Amino acid sequence: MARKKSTTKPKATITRSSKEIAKKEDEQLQTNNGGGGGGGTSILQIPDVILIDILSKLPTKTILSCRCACKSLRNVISDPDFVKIHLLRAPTSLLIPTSERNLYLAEVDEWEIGSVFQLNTHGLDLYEKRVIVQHSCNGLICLCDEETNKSQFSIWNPILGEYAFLPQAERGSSCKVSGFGYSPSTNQYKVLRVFQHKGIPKAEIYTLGMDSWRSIGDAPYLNGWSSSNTLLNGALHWIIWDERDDLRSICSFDIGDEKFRTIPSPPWTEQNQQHRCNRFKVKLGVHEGCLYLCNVSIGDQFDMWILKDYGVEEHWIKASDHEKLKIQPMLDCSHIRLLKFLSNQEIMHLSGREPLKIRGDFRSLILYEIQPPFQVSPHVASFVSPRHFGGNLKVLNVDSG
Amino acid sequence: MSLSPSTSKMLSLKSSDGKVLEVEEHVAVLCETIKSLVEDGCADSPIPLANVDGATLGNVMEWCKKHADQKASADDLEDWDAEFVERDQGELYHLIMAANYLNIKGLLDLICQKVADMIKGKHPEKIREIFNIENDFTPEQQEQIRKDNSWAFE
Repeated sequence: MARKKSTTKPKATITRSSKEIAKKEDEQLQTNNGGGGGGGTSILQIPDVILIDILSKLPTKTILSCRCACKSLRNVISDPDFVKIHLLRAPTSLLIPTSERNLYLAEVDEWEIGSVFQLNTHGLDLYEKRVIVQHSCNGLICLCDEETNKSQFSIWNPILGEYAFLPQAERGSSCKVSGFGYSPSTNQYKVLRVFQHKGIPKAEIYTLGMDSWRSIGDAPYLNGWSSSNTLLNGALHWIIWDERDDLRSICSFDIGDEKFRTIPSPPWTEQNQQHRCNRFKVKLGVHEGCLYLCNVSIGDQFDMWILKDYGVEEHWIKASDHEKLKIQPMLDCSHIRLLKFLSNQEIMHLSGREPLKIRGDFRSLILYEIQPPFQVSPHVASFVSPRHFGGNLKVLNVDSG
Repeated sequence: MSLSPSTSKMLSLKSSDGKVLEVEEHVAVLCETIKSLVEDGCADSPIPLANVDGATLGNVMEWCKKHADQKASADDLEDWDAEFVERDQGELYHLIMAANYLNIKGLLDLICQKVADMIKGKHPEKIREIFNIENDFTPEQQEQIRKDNSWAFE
């Protein structure tokens, strides 16, 4: 619909195809002739770099709407520059699979829940095959289907509804542990799998876009890996538990140089020995660019340790700021997942049993849109497409298959 | 370089359509492009701004004048800015192009935020309407998009 307003010039009165708009935009960029008024004007004629800036500030749902509006907007949203800038600005979201096999995305900004909407997972068989949502990195989710003898991995962007099956690993039994992450130093996404071969833990790597998995030799541990891992500084981190479920160490894997390392565990206090740390109650995470280890098994308090000088002269310090934070006594600590630290020293965390409650110091947010029970995992909504990796990855759409 | 209002001299700016605007230097230097010229001593004659028409230049300088006023409070500026961006799309477009060319980050951010607010929460149909754009997908593509993004058309 053309808008007319005649008090000042120039006017916005065009209805043209986006192809023409794109062409006009090119001409304008080439001749650098933006200010002369001329015929009709649409905001979309601004240089791509500014349009990218505007679009990257919008909520995910609105960006998806723009993607459906016309081809030129769709092209800008798949532009690598847009994808990169948007990723830097994207807020933490919650990915919420429900028992009714639906998948929701809720955007959370400090204490506000923004838009909540249902994602299309048709054709992905997320639940039939007991596919495990393993890891989320830069908006991509690494799924692992452990039903088959050899682990079948796939990479999925739930926002774009695009997924790709990775080549099948040739060797070994099912995974002891796996990980997925991005290395800024090599600009590569890699999947790691650790499996048993003749009684020895072996590791293999798949780099997104490559043809096959390749061996990187022995892994440091066979058993004891924590089920989830934490990505920091281009490395994945796991807690390693011993046979008695005591914390043995922290293991890291650098996605860039593909080396395993061991980070010593914090000097636990005597208090800890009274309340033995439990593998379900000790969490590893990232806070302000530092690795933290948090023990919620000590009475009703968080015991938090932060790793300083990562990779240099690493040492753990106790985080006194968070000592006063108490968990409600009736809350089952094993269901807590720390999501992020808010600017006012509050911790956003989740309890997955009830309608979603994000508690930090007794405050709650409730998600009315979704029927419980459901699970929740933190996720960054991004427009990184498995198509960007090229190679022999065959990328499918959830709907068309 | 710090230029106080009391010592500020006048600069003349010439728009693409030949209009000449006399502006105080401490106001004009909010444009980084002009500031560089002043600092390099190249700002004596009327400064030709081939990419900005007279009407847009007037609007840009109105914004610069308000923002160069050191007496204006933050709240005052916010209210004033909110009123300043109430314009039609053509004007907003030219302001973006001018703010980009003259390198005025504050003004560019302001207009970009305004455009973002215009789109925020809108469905595809509405976005097409706002920006005068035609739906250029083929009927088959359109059907696929509707299927893949059913939530967006609710």
